[in-house]
Parts: sequence; C-alpha cells; structure tokens
Amino acid sequence: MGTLIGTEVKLLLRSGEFLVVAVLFPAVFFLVMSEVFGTMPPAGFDMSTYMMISMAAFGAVCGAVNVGQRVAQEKQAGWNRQLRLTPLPGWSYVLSKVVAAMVVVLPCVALILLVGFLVKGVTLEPWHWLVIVLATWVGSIPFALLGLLIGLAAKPEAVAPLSVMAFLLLSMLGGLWMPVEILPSVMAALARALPSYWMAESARELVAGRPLDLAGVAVVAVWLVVCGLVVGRLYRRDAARA
Amino acid sequence: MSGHARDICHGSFRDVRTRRRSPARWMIGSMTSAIGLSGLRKTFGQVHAVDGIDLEIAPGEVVALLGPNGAGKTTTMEMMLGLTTPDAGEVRLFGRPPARAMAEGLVGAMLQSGGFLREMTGREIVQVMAAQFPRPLKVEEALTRAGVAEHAKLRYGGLSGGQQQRVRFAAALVCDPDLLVLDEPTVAMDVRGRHEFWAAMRAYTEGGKTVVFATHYLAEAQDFADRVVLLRRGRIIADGSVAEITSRVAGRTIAAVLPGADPVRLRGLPGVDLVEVREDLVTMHCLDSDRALRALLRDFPAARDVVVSAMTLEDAFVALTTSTDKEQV
Repeated sequence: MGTLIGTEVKLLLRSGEFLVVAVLFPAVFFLVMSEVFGTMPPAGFDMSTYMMISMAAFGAVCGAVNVGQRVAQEKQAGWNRQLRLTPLPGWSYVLSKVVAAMVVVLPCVALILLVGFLVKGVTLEPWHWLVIVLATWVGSIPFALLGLLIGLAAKPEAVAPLSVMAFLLLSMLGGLWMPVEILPSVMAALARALPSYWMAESARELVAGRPLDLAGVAVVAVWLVVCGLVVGRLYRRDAARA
Repeated sequence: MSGHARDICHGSFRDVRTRRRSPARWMIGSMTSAIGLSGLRKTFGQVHAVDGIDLEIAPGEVVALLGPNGAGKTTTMEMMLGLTTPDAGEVRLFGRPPARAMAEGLVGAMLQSGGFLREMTGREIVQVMAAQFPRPLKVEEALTRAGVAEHAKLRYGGLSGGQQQRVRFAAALVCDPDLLVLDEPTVAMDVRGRHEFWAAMRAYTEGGKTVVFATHYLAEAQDFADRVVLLRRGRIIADGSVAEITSRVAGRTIAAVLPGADPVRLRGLPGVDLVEVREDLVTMHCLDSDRALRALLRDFPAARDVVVSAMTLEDAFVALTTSTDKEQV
C-alpha cells in the first residue's frame, strides 16, 4: 500500500496543470472575493482575517473534491479494474486517494494564507497560522471522500461539472463566501449542518481562543462516516460489475 | 440422438463420435485442475452472454478460447477472475475460489477492460502491481521476461500499442503466477510485435505454466495452443486439439468463381453443408466433396477456377460458428 500511495503522490506532482489549477484557483478567488466583501462589518473578527480563514477553508474544499476527477480518469483508463486483479483491499485504495487529496490541499491552504499575510496584511500569532492549516487540512477529509464518491459514482464526463457544483454549493451554503451572520436564518441553520461551515468556524474558534464546538466535530464526523460508507459500497459495487 | 450429458452440452456439434482426449485431460481425476468451471451462466438483460459452460483445464495446458464477437469469451474470463459474479455455476482456480487464488498471486491476467495511466512509466506500473502480491518477481525480471525492459523508463501513454501490451504482460507476470489469463493479448500489435509477444510467452510456458488466452487470430491458436475451446453464443461447441477440431468438421472446402450464384440452389446440391458467397467467389463446406463437385459442375457449368482443399482451423471455425440450428444434431 505504501507503494500505491507513493505512486499516487508522484503522479500528482507530475500532473502539473492539474496541480497549478487546483492550487491557484482558490487563491485567486480569495483575492477577488475579499475585494467584493471586504467592506462588510467584521463579526467579532477583523474582516481580512475572517475572510482569509473562510477562503483557506474554500481552498481546502476545492482541492479535496478535485480528487474525484483523477478517479474518473483512472476509471476511464481501466486502472481501477487492474487493481482489482490484485489483493489490494478497498480501504487502502480509498486511503491512497485521501492522502493524494490532502497533498493537494496543503499548498492550496498555504498559498491562501500567504496571500492573506502578504497582500491583505493579516497578522496572527505563529501558532494561529498552524491551527488554521491543521483545521482546514483535517477538515478536508470528508470532502476528499465526497470527491471520491462523485468520481466513483458518476459517468467520467459528468465528474468535472458535478465536482465543481459540489464545492461551489458547499462553500456558498457553508458561509465561506459570505459570513453566515449576514445570511437569512434558514440559510444559517443549513450552514451549521455542513462540514464546510465547521471547517472555517473551528479554525476561527481556535484562533479566537474559544474551545471547539462539539456540534461541529459531530457534523464533520457524520459526513466523514456517511461518505466513507458510500465510497466503500461504490468500490465494492464496481468490483462486482461487469 | 441419445447423447449423454456431456454430448448435449456440446450439442450443436455434428460429430461426437471422435471425442478423443488429450493426455493432459486424462489426468484431471487425480490432480487439481488449474481451472474448473461448472455450469457457468451469466445473463446481461436479455442476452445470455454465457449459457452453461463446463470446462476443466489441467495445469500446464495452453488453451485458446476462440469464438466470434459476443460468443462469451470475455465474460467467461471475467468470471474466471472473479471480476464478474456468475448468475449460476462455480469457478475454481487450483481448487480455490477466484478471489483467493488471485490474492495468493497464483493468477496473472491481461484484460481488455484493464488499463494503466498514461502518466505512469512502465516500471512504475509493474512496481505498483508487484507491491500488492505476497511473492512477486523482481520488477526488472518481469520487465525483461516481457521483453520491455528497455522501454520501462518511458511513460505508458508514449509507448506503441505493442510495447503497451508487453508492459501489461509484465504487470501480469510480476506476481509470478501459475496461471495466465489473457484476453486478446496481441490485439493492438503489428506482426513483429505479435511474434515477439508469443516468443516471450513460449519462454514462460516452458516452466509448465497454464495459459488461457482468447484470440481473434486463428493462426495464434493454431501455432501456440495445445487445446482449442470454441465458443458460440455462450456455449462450448467444440473442444480439443487443433487437429481434432479440424477433423471434426468432416469434409473439405470447394471454392469456385461463379458469377451471379444463387446460394440457396448451391446449398441444395448433394454433399454441401454450408455456402458462402462473396461477390463472384463461392465457398462451400462439403461433407462429401466428390458428390458436391460433380453436382456443381453439372448444374453450374459456368463455375471456374475450382479449388478443393482440406479444412484449416479457420474453415472449421467458420463452419462451426455459423452452422444454423437446422444443421445441429
């Protein structure tokens, strides 16, 4: 399995275009969005920091969901089927994909934080930066599974549009583009059921020195388990299919 | 006909009297088969892709699966490998269920539906495959045996069709299998590529390994297989050595140039079994070529360039896979 993960990462680094788009897109998005919403009243936070954390979360969602597109390519090439001729257990296939997603997520988040620091003049304690990276990194795991789910479930040509839709909707509804505080109450309630909201919110709580909201941990855990179970099912279904 | 069960299952076959067995098949009772398929069935919607296949393949046999498109070759192989679940029947590989035999690294396979990522190099592909198995060959050795070591540094997507197939062969070999299952292994190769591929394969089978391959190229079956299994519409219609199969299609072929020939009238000539008309060229498979020839020359004086020849495997293939229900015993 180590070999599979190693190969996965090597292939990722080799696919220059994919990596550049996946990493640059959220950073560019951050620059644009922070100009659009930059004048809104800060909600207990200074606006740039608030937006930077939201956008780091957006970058993580974006980078993680994208892993599905690679799965679609692999399915088209027949690589999944080839792997089924080996004793490779399903969970290590899934794990290799999650690791690949997390390798993409890290530079996405780092670049946004760098932009926040250099362009937006955000200043934080050193360990706050680390907390943001960790929260978004770990928080991206359910999205990696969601991307994998889309990649395994959808027809190859439908995977790209579905992935884009998934990360745009989850980011928007999760309040990553506009602070939840200014959304209508129904939308705010919906946001609290999404792991995208909690990814950013958890980072903000930790940075503000508040304890983690367990509701958030629970929501993320439920998404993780549900997506994980569906992915497991899909992998087995693929195995049994002609 | 009062056929017993085995004959019924090969029932579309005209002649069951010469069911000689190759020596390898006599040994089955006393040792574990490499492959044992019993009562295998698979239906996709309305199509009976595999419609009752029983097959025993002994260790060391090299068996060609032949048949027209849609005969059930690929589905049979996928069920052999546990990639497709049969609707009915059972698969045993070396006495084990397919998944276990695969996990133990006893089986290597090249599938039409399997494939590799264009961005990976040949060596990386073989490395990843090797890492999944308990007792793999050295990666270099698999690449060398498949005759692709010199191209192993190149990305898969940049290789020629023949080189790609040999990378796939190396990936199938690297688990050091006792059984190789190959679905149209030479399909993308030119003549030289095919030649090299079979040379590599011969070297491999000299160690007493079992090989099952599906092919469209009858010459490959003729040159390489100890045994030929002919499939049609999901059933085995003939099973034996190349010589047995061709002898089983009794008679000869008469070919003649006959402009404006009427296939129905030709089919009605005495001794004629099957008629093919391609433009002016008429080919008739005849059970009694002497009578057929006399009748042809009497009834169709315009026939010229007449050639009478013995059956080749290809003729047998055509005769066996196109014979209509009416002609079945």
